[in-house]
Amino acid sequence: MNTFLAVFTYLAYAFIIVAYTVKIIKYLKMPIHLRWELYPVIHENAYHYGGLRFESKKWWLSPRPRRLFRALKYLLKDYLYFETYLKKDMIYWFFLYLSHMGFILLMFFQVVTILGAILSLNGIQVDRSSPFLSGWLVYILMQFSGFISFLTGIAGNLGLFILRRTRLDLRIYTTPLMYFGYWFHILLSFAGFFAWFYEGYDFSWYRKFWEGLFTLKFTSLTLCNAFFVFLMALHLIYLPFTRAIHYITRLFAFFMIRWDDEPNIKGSELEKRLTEQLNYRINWSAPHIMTGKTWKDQVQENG
Amino acid sequence: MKIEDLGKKIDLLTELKPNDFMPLPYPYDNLAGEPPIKRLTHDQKERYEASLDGIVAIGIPKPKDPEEEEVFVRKFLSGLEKLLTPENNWTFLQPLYHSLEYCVKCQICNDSCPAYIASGRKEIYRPTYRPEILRRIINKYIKKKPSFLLKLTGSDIELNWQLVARLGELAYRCTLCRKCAQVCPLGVDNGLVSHEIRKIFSQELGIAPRELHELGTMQQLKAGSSTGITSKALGNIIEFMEDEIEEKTGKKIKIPVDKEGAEILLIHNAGEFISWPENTEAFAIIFDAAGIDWTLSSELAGYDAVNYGVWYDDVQLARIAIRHAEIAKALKVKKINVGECGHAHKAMIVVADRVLTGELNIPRESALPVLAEIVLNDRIKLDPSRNSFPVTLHDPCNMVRLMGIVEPQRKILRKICPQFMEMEPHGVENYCCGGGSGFAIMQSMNFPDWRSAVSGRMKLKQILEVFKDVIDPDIKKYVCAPCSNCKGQIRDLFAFYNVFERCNILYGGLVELIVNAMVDIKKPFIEWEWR
Repeated sequence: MNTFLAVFTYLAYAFIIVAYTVKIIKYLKMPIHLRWELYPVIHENAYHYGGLRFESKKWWLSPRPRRLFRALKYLLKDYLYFETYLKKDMIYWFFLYLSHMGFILLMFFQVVTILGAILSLNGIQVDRSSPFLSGWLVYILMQFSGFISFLTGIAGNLGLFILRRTRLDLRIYTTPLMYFGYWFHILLSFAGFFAWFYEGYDFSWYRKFWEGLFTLKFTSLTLCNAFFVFLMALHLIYLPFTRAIHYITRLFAFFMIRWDDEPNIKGSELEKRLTEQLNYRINWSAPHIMTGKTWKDQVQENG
Repeated sequence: MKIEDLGKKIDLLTELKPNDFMPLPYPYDNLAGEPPIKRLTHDQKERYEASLDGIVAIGIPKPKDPEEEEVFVRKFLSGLEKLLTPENNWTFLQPLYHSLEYCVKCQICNDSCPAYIASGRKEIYRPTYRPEILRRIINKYIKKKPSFLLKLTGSDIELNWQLVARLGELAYRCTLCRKCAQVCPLGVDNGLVSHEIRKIFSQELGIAPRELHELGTMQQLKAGSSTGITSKALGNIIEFMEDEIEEKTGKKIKIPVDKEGAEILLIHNAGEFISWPENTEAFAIIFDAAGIDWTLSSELAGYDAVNYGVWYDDVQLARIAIRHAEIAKALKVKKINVGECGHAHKAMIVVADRVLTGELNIPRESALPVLAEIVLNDRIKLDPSRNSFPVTLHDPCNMVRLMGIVEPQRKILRKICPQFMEMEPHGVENYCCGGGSGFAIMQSMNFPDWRSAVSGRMKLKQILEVFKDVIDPDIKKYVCAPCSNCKGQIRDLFAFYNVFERCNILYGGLVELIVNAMVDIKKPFIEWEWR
């Protein structure tokens, strides 16, 4: 049992890392697309109302502004409190916020637990009376993140489930996999909650489980704890089948599509890539298209 | 209604009833007095697919037998498969992939869609509806997911020719204004999905609205303009414009054509020459008075800035963009300047940027900053009191939300129109006129009624609201729409609701207001009559 859970956890981590890496590489390796930005573009000088670049005469002579900090600040607002939902649909926002808080804190709980295991293996005491600030802090954060994550995970996912079942505009677009997701999170949160309640509030057993994963000396777990560990690992395997990676792809969408106003300048790397893409062969078969010829050939003809 | 109902074998999937429509302000606050949407004739219904909502935008002929139905579906699937390959769709693959993969169907975008709201929230017009259909088809027929996964992902959809044909029609119930995309916190663009569905129909099945393809891009590339104006006819039009300028203003202006090495090649939407020649005349008057070194082109397609390809076909988009650039290069002009045409702005200046490589990458800019510079620096003498009537501004989506050009037109209006007032919302959060993405020029069967009653309804509401305190027909009012297609839509919208007669609201461009304020022109340039 102990070995099974350990191997299952290793595999789950390996799986999610590989699956997400493949997804991210697939996204990033797609060809450069035509410009399709939407204003306000965040790095523009007049982003508070739109943009300044095309409002200027001879805009092509001025350098394209870059404001990474402003962009990140904008995105962070939605990461932190889902500003758009808050403005447009407060009930949905409330449960969405809770469920996301549950998810984010669950991930955070994992990270601090792993950190706690590493500290402990390096001789740093991880508990309430630790003389080391790091040990004490990790101990506090584990308890805090775990408990809050389970509570918000249950409330948020249950709320979303009820909304998705009762609101027609949501119901007809909700798939069985989405309902499964809500219940899976609820179950996982309950499992965590019970482990917290019955096995000690400090999750030291979970930290020790992770120490065992690092040292290959697997600790034995009670049924309640084992169930939680199993669900945590299963959760990692489940995630790549959901849209949870939107935490990352959202960044791509904003930087690579919505705010991508990089001009095609003569002799630039972008122009080089576009020239390559214009040599792709087209297989569209409508009568006005010359099937089998390249984009470059197509555009020289009038169809 | 369920998602999969789109394939249901029934005569009419969604009925449009005026009583369901979004109410309008006074004097159109009685829905019982709503002008009816023309019903299709029996013959039209027999010949064309019209079972989506009783409206025909494309006119997809009904297959004669099951074999034809099967071929139709097969071709659609083959097109869909190509849409997902980098070779055939490098142009939009990444944005499409993102929108198909990462929409969480939270419906936060719904209230941004003017057609969905105006229709009384008909399910088929919901911004997330089309993408969901496409997603399910992809899962089942392209990715060929196993049946348990299809059930889990809710993708168990049955493809038949009705579903495909309705999906094609449905792609022409979205104006591609992209207001839905603007509010999506995950960066999903449901408007783009409509664009991509249109591409499957055009690039694979050879099906597109006649006004966009056959009479649009094809005619532009072969005859010179989507209006049918040839180079020779352009010569006559320019002579007529010069005569009319002299008659209206007393100014003798020689409009430069094919002037090599000019600073600016000005390209208008050729629809202006036919429907609103006062717009092109006003440009000539302003540029002449400001001493701008400019020229028009008489080359094939060089006098028509439109690029309808941007709405339905990437190959046609690229062909026209390259044609425009080649003309500018041959004329050795310093830059191309796009007149008052929103989609031409977006297509030529922004979207085509990544197909114009090497020497074809000629600087391209909007006419609005050039006009703003002339007006704000007093390069021509203007008297704002000549425009002393209420004026509001319609923001063309292509210039504003899709290019960020918000202030130059406002700076001009604030200077020359003392009674300028803003619609709400405006700027990048504006509502589409309802004629976007080609709708304004599409005249198929009863489609023009739909775009007045449904897609243009929100714009009419905004106009009536902004003028609510001056709605009295004794007070002249002006909607400034610096875009040919928006003007075309507003013209049809006003005609459908009889707005000019009932409320005395005229529409027109920006340059007409500038010339109307010029002190050295004695008579008012704007003639207060319906066109």
